[in-house]
Amino acid sequence: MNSLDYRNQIETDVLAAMGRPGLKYLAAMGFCALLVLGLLACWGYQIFTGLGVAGITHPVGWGVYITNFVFWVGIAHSGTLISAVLYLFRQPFRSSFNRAAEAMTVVSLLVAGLFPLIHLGRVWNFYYLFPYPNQRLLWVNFKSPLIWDVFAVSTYLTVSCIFFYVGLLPDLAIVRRRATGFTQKVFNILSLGWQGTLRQWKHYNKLYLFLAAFATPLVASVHSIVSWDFAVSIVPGWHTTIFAPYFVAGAIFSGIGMVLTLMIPLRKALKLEQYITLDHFDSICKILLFTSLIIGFTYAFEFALAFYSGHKSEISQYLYRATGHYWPFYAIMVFCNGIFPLVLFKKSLRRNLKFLFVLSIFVNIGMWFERFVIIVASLAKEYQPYSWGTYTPSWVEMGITAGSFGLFFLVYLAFIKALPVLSMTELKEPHQ
Amino acid sequence: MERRSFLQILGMFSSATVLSSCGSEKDQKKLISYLVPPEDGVIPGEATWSFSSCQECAGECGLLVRTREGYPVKLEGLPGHPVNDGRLCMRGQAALSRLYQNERIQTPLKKTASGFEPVPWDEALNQIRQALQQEGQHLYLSGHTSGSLRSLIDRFCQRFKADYLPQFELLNQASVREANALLFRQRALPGVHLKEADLLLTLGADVLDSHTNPVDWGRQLVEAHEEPGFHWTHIESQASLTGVNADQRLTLKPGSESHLLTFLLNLVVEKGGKRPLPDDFLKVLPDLSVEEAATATGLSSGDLTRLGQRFLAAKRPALVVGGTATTREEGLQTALLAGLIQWCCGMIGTTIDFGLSMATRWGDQRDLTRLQTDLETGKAGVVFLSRTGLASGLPSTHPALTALPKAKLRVGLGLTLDATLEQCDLILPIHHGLENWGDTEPRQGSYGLLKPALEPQFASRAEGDILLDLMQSPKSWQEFLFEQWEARFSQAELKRFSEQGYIEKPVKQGAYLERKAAKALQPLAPVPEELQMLLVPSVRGGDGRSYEMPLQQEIPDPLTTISWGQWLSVSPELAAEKGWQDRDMVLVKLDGWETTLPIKTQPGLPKETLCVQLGLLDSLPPITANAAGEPVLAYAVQSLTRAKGEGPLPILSGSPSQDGRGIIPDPVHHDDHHKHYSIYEEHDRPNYNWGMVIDLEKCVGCSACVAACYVENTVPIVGPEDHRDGREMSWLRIEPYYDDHGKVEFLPMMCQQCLKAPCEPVCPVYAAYNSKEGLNIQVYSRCVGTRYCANNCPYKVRRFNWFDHVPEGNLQRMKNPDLAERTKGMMEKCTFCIQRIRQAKDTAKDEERLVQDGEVIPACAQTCPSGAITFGNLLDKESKVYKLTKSKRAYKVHDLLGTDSSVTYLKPGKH
Amino acid sequence: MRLKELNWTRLIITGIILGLFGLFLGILAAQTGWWQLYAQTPEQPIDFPHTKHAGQLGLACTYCHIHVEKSREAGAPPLSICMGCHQKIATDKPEIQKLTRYYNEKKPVEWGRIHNLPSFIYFSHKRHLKGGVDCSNCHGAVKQMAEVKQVRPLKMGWCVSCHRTYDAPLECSTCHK
Repeated sequence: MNSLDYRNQIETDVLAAMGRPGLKYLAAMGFCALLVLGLLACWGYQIFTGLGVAGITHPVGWGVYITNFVFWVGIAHSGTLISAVLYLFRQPFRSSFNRAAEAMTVVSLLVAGLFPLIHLGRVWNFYYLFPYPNQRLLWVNFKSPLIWDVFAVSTYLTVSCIFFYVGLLPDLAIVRRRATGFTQKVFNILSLGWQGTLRQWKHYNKLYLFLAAFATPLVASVHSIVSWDFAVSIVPGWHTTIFAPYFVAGAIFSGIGMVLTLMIPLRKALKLEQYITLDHFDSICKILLFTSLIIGFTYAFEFALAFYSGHKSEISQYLYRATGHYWPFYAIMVFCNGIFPLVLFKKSLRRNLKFLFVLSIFVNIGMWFERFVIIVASLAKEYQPYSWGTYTPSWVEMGITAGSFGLFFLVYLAFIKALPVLSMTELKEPHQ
Repeated sequence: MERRSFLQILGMFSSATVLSSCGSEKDQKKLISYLVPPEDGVIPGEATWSFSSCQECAGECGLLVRTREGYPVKLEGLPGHPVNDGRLCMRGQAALSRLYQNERIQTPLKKTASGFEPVPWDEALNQIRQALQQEGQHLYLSGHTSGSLRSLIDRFCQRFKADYLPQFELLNQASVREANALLFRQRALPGVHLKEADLLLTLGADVLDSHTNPVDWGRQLVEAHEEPGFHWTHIESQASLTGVNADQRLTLKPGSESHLLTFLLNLVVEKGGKRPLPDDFLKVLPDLSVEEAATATGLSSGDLTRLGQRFLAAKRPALVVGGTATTREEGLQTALLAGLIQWCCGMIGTTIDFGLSMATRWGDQRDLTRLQTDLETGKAGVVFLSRTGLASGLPSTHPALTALPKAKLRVGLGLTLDATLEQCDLILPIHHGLENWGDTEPRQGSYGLLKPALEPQFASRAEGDILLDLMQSPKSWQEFLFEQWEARFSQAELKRFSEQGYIEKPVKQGAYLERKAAKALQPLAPVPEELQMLLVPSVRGGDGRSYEMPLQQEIPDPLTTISWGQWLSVSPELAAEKGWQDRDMVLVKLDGWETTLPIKTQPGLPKETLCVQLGLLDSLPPITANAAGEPVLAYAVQSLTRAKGEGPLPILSGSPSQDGRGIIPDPVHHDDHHKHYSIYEEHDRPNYNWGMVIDLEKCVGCSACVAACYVENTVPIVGPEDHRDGREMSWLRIEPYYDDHGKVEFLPMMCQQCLKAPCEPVCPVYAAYNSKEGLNIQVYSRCVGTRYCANNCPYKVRRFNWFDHVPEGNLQRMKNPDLAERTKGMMEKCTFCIQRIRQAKDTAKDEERLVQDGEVIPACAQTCPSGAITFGNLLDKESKVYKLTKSKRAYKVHDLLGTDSSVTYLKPGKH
Repeated sequence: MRLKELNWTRLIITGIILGLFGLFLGILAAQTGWWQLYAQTPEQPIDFPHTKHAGQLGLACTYCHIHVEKSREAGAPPLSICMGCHQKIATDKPEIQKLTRYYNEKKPVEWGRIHNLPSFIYFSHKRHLKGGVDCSNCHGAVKQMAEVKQVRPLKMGWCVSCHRTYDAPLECSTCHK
């Protein structure tokens, strides 16, 4: 009886979050919608006038757009880590995060997918990037990392969506059971006739395990492929073998940072303190600390590699990062990603939610600037001294960046109201 | 002239001038037929070529004009022409834009209270005819004019008792001409035979920037350097493109040029030159010891001694002065001393040749005084101003200009409504050189032909026709021309003239020393102590007039890489002393004039000098004349202080130093030939492997290749704002690299057409790929604009179209129809002029053979006055380019990256 | 059947599948419509029948289109070629009179262009003729066309497939300027 009450309580608490939206919620949605309108306006202006309205120039051909792309794709990874990888490792603490994290993955992939289109000079020909049979008898260039990106990100998006949806199914059935009216009709369709029979549960577990196993390598591979956008080139500062593990660690790091940014206010606003406890945050922070150590190590190691190579352009590039035009960004990056998170060695700080929220903002900022420094600083000082130059983002780019954040939060807020934020099914399972 | 002979001569010259066939451009909705198929070999879609002469400066190089569909799209040098032999400078390449500039006057204009209004030709000409009948001294002032037009103007002025004032050129080299007039009774600029010489000493004469004919000088210098033992020393008080390319460059204090020459002349007289100096001169020649000369000039005694020794040891020296050495108060003295040295060393008649003289009808500032007097005393009747550039070359407060309104009628002839023509009452538009018949005489004994390459676009008329009409002659300008030619040339010569576009009838002219000239020698003036500001000519603007063309500012200045904008060059020592940096605004105060300019440090500039290029200032300081009538363009600086802020100067180079990258290897650096391994198979290149060799020893950085590339490929001109962002579109650029000693080397950098190009594997849509002929092809219509290729290019030669750049109005006619139009979002870059390769292959295929060496020349190689660029098929072991790649000096830029570039550079040797 | 009893799931899934088919059909229809559009012929100033000249009289294409063997452009025939015959022949026909008026007034005829390639494409008639390509390969059976129509797509894939079959150059730069 006690456990039945407990399970009912879970359902009530989680479904309470899906009630009528309050004023604060609508205001937040409205603000995000404005930012999204800004994104559309800026992008439309850019399409009609030309890419020159952005600050990109020779030699820095990639700037804020690709930074955003890598940033958002990176964030997606830790969602899959929490859902899939921790599932395979049978970590129970994932169950309070995993729905929200998985949703974060899907939404951030949607936002990330916009940026390869935004940064194209001739976006109306974007379909040239897809290998579809065409009258020109032309294929795409499979040697190009940008095409690998197309495959990787689209695979990741597809798999994440399916994984997300499959994981949602039992919860959708719960909502169907407890909802009335139009909501019930919608969830009737969405839950695909889930009845919770033993047979269905058997298939469900097999499928979920399979999808988790399928998604797990994607955590490593997708961001490795995105990192090869840079590592496969000859640009000094990009062309190093450490990029794949570096980016994957960075992705997980930034993703957990974003998870913290989302979950801490979410927990308070939706009154889910019971389900998302300090222990959970403690465990998540250990992953954050671990990845921060990897990143810090990489920062130092890159320098060592450059000097070891003796290659004039390579050494010059790393010195430029630390002391050149973009040194403040480099300082932010090293501090926010490699030094500040080290305080997490202290247990009390790992359990201090206010501090964690602030730390997560620092992590987000630090990781955004890390991508910026890697992309922009490397292009600004390459092999040919005549062509060295700097890059300053224009208002169009800032508008689109802000708009991307707006889009992310807009869709995420919609998710909070539309779908159960916690995995009720998993929470109901008996703990050890 | 008899109609028969007219037609005969016309027949010789006749070629395609008419009939465009529209619809040969794709994408046009209409297909318009000829009435009659042109018998003269004009085939739609194919280009025709005709002769002309460049009118951008007094050099008057011969031109071959490439016309497509009735509109000239490219100018090239005329091979064999005595002055330029197939080469053309940067200003000449850009000069095509003057034909199509939107500011061209389309009909005659009359000044009214509310501005200018169009009038019909008859009305305008009648008004002039009436005015010519009235009382008054009529005056005719033109810019540089040679050939038959000059004779016609002479006749015109005779007829109306008008005064044909000596022609106006701002940089009139009057000191040298006056000195030559006094010393040798010839008021002219003699030509130079560098092939004869073993030592060239130039003092101030910017022979590679704008002096006389930079194309001719560039050619001759390369030829002369082929003789071992030829040496060129350039001495100047500024930092010019000429100076940095000399074998030896010395800087002296501005104002000490006559001291240097006095020292040299004393040395020559002492040790005995080929000819003795007459006593009249010896008496007035000041003594000057090495130490005194060193103090005056700022050169070290060692340098002076060595210079003297080298000069004395030379068997056939040549000395040329001009430029900043003579645009000074004491310019005449400098020129007289130079003339005496030329005489005593036996240069006259050997290396210095009056038979090749030019500028024989140029005036000087004293003639402007004559104009001014006539105007002020109210004597002036009709004043004709034809192609003078008077108001742009002189400050607006110049008395000749302020007195102009006093003329009874001011008639202006020109192409655009410039500052000079705005002063006129009646404005008559004349044909552009490419729309006109004519001839030139760039120097004595050489004649060039002008034949119309297109029908006149507007209701302009030939200047000759206007004058003949005013004289009420039944002849047309064409008839007059043909008459002149019949008189001047034999039938055989005329035939050659019509077939070649030029003809040479060498003139022998000697000279003897006039002793009375000794009276003109003055004692040495003291060298000014204070800072001096010099107004200097430049390779881009000449005397400033070429800066009217936007292309000249789009292409950066080779020494500073500043493109759009004005600046003040200061020496690095001065800037360091004052704690100033590039782009800092400073206030320069002269006597009665001041301006605020951003600075740019120029290594090699003497500490005492500040330089501003002519044509870049909004307003000119007052210009006085020296004793010979040459404008004094050196000013004592009263104060130089920091003003607020920074100037928005686009300095295109990211770093003036190579930063140890080995881009132009130090002579000590040895070449490592690594075998580059690749995971990809070697491409099969059956017939052609196009390659290029650039000899850095020959490259002087004049940027003619850059301008040729811009015109040939219709590269967009983007303007100053985009330049400040680093978005210049040049496919080919000149990169100056300075070393620690302030010496500079120029590296022309274009797409290296790498055989293992980093840009190719990264393009997601295969817009960049490597062809079977070794070229890196960019397919514009496939490009989606991800810009990964530009990021991955180590040479940064790929240029992205950030916006749609559509030239305005009539300038669209300059578009080369052989190339695809690039719109926003596409990447573009040098293609080794693939349109020319395609054309040559087409011809070769018709004849069922392969393209031979020398059949294909990209625009850059074609125009280079020094012949620094060689292009050809590397698979052809007999080709010039293959042999050059085997040179000991050959290397490739960034070879260690394994790009296997098709462009090989030849290291500059020891200077 | 009342609303509550409808099986919504089935309905929606059926709808999606039908919708996909409908979309496919729609795209097909659009393509057909577009083909019809561009195959439309523009107005010609003179009603010139190839059926008479190339068909009945058997004139070779190059008799009138004189530049085709020498240049990239085929161009429209100069009027003097027409007048070569029509000074005396068929002068009573109104179209011939129109032609004569054009010639006498020295006004070039503005034919409506039928075969059009984008301006970034280099296409040389001369090369194709020398390569042995017959005019009708690309222009169709002009001899039988009273009004010339475009009957081949002239799209890149069409050109490439013929180049592949006949070992012509397949470099992008062959055609892309």
